Amino acid sequence: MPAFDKRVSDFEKADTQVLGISTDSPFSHENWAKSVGIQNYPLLSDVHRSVAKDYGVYWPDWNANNRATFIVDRTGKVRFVERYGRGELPEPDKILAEVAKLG
Amino acid sequence: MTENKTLNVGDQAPDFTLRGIGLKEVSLHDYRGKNVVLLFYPLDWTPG
Repeated sequence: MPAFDKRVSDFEKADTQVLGISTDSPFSHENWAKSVGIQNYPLLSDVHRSVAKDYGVYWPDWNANNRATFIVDRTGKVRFVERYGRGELPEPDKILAEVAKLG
Repeated sequence: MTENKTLNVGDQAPDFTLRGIGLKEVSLHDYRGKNVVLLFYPLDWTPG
């Protein structure tokens, strides 16, 4: 997501790593990242859909995952979950504010 | 892993190891000690 890519330094200041996950291959990710200008955080390939299922975001209709954001704290605990409907996108400012609450 | 579980606030985040661009492996536990934002998005070439 280019909107997050532009803000990676703000997340780093909050000692926070951003990771993008979809069910696409690394080769698809590479082309997409180049096309839309994502270069500051990793895009990961959940090709077996195992992570989507573990996180409860698997979307069987498309054999893909739904759009959702999770914030995991320093101890590995989920501290924030936001799931999105059609046309909804995560907002970097809102997610940064949630990260800031963790201290 | 065949069922679609629900993950909620307060749960331990399931660890994972996935490959990214350049086939580089990345694991959630690589970032233990930092906060991590996981952005799940449906497919490359979708908005966002």
